[in-house]
Amino acid sequence: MINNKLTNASLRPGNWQRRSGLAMTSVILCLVVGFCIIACGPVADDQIVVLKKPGLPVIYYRVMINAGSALDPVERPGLAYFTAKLLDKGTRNLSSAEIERRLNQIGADITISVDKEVVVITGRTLSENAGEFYSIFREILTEPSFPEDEVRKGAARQIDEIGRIREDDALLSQTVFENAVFEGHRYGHAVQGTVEAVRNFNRRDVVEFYHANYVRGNVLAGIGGDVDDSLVERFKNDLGSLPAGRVLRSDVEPSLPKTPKVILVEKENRTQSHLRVGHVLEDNRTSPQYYPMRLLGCYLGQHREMFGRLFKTVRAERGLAYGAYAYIEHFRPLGWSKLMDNGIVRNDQYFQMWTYPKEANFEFCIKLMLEEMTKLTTTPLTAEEIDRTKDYVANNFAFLMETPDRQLGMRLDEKWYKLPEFVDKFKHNINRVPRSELQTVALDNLHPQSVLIVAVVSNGEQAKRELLSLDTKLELPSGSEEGELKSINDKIKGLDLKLLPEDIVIVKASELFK
Amino acid sequence: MRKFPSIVLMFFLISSTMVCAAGFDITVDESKLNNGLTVLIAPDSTAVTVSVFTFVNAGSRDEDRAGVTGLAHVFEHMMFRGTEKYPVFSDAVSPLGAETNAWTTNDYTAYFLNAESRFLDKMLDIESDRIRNLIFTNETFRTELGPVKEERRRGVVDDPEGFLSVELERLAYTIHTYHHPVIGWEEDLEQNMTSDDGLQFKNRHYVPNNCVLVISGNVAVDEARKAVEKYYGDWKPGEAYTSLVLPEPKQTEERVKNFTWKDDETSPLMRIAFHIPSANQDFESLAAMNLINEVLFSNSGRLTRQLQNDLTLVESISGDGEMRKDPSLEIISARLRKGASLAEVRDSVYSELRRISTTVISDEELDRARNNLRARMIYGLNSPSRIASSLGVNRVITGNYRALMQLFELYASVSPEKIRILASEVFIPTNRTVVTLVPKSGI
Repeated sequence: MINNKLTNASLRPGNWQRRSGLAMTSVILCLVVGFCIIACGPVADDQIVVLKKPGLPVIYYRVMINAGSALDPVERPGLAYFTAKLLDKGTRNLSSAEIERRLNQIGADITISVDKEVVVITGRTLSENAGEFYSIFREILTEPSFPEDEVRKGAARQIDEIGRIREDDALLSQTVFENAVFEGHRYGHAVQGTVEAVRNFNRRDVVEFYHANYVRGNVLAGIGGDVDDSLVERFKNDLGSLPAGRVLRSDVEPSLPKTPKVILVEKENRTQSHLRVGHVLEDNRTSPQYYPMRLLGCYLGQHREMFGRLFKTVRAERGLAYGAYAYIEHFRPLGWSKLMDNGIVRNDQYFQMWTYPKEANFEFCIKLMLEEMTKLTTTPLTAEEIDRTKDYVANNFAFLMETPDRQLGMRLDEKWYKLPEFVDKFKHNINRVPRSELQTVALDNLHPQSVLIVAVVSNGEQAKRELLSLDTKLELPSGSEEGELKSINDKIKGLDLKLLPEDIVIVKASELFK
Repeated sequence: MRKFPSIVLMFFLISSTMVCAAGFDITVDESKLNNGLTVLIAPDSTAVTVSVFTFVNAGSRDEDRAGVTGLAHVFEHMMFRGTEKYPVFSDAVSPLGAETNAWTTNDYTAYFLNAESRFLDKMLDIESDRIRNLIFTNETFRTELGPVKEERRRGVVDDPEGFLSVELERLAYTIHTYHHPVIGWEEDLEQNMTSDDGLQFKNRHYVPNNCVLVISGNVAVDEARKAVEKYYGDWKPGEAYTSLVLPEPKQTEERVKNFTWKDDETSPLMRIAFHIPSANQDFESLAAMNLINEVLFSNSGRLTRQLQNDLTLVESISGDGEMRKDPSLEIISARLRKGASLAEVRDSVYSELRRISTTVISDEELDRARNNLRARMIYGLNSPSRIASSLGVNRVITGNYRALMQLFELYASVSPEKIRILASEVFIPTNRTVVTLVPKSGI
């Protein structure tokens, strides 16, 4: 398989802690360089996207900085998130309250999101307030002041957010899954970090992180909507005022385990079990196999769509869960939309299936999902199934480009992956995937025997016993009949997960992320 | 106050969304078929997609018989099953690359199908077919109750925020059907509901004279009208249904209920609710209440600043007065930081509510609120789907889609004194319902 990952990293062997040392050296080097070569002139053209679009009198900004949690110092998990979230909490000329007041005065907003690789800062304003908004946006990006009292408040807020991961079972299962599937890798901790680490952050940590990573070479930016040339030039020039430099870092390659592994997250009094089943993938969006994988993921379980196999078998046929989906890239929805948000760019990706049945059915649903995953590797899809999936993926692309802010997001993601024709040739690349290739690609990329399973359960020991026993429970909705599904259900129940006691780990939700 | 003249001009230039001096306008072709189906068409030649929304004028409010709470929502699920012509709905729409979904509220149920505009004819074919010819058996109905119950577990039983919202309305309404949640009571979903109930609900409410069809996006009005007539013209109207919903009597004393959650992973939560007029009774009050919520709970709002930013007693605090057909609730929701005092937060909120009831809001604060609300309305019109949704919601709740534009204008014109009077009438102890929730081991 072609591995065409984008990485700034050296790929020499070694453990990631040692590599992080190398990375820190690079960071320090860049910091030094950054201080020595203060930028003059605008940011390079290949770092900026301009999409002038007639439409609503609205201007959209989007700045993407390679300063995500993968750059957290080993002993300071959560620092990237912490730094990013303080950007709009005070600048050289404006206090946090003043920023909020002035943004509200003009009905504008700024949001900051943080993922493993990048921080994304978006801004939105009515074009009649373009100048007023831009002066605030520019200061947040280039002149944050990180006031001491805001650092203290920021720590409290971040600790609250860590608590919210434990509260929300969907988020809890997802975070545990990512931490475990990327164990030993720079993605292997929550972007919010741990309570202990956050409690010890101080202003100096933040300032150092900012100066080291918010450098010109780490930035991609976009402006769109009702914009004029003078604003574009100003934006380019101001981005150019960031210190020069580009942060390099190194990662180990995430690896597949040889046998399944289960993490049971014990949380009292659950009635429902969130299940995450999957493994790391060798490739990301830059691989030619992305397109067939995209089709396979869509066929198996397009997010919140009803035509996916998982949805049909788990929900429509058996009524076991509200949803059942599959992902070939890390997925974060765009608000209430079913679409994937932009700015979730990653060098290393994973495959995952997700459902959340009544707790009694957790084992059956794990087996059912694994059976559907396995089928992709053993049974060719029909021509009709493939064509229908291709039509969906190709025709649905219009929504990924529907609004100016989404277009900016797509174009910046494209630049980040260094795939200059990703958007323009997407439909073409989907349509040209040979039908015959899908099963081969599934065999190459999907490994049901090497999955990580995360389940949120009320009683870990009991769940472990159930996974190790020969019996698998199935409780259908009251009043519904098993009918002709009985023989299939019996087959699913009889599947052997091939788990040994040592493959199953029980962790308490209350002890996580401390 | 900052004016919005350029918005007006821009709208005029770019699409069918236009103006008058005081606000904005969207070109909408409104018509009614002979069978009573209301049709709104909002063309926009700059769009590449088209959105088809079907609003059924029935929600959980209309579950006015015992034992069927949650039926409107269950029926929404059933609508994604199939017909004789299109046995699997999702297989029919997926080749279009369509976005499709639905939601149920107290007052209405909305279905949408969005796709590239070249698919409009097919979209109308599929949508008209399922609303008229849906087939289901008792077995599929019972199977679909499974996902509904799992949705309830996720959103209510295992979710402290959802749980508390349900308990708040249960306490605030005594005889009106807003008393029960859209998702329904567990016993009704588990035991009482049958496919016959579903069929009866369909025959009663899923009729053309109780529906609003909204089409927005890259369409020509004449062609869209013809297509609508082709697919919906011979849909037979239903008999008028007399609602059994009882008006909620005026609340005369404060109601309070405190809950302890089943685990320790939640933060303490508080909801404070006040009855407010319905959008139909007093549209100006809706605008005034939205302005109050901006003044108190926007990012720079008084209570956000005080409780979240300065005192750091809450993780978040918000206020929302939902637009409903019948008298609604203004709901203040606070998520406290662990260790913070519920009483301290509650008293701070009450103190600010007294202030806003007795002292008019400053021009600066009010301008900020007006600008923010109006800007957000503009931002919200950035796709055919958002436009169709906004038009339809306003049409089914108020009877007039132009309520959307009126609200924009009212944000500019509601007087500070009107806002103060509304606050003084609403924020009184006898009109108040309070629910709190603390973790299992307490705060």
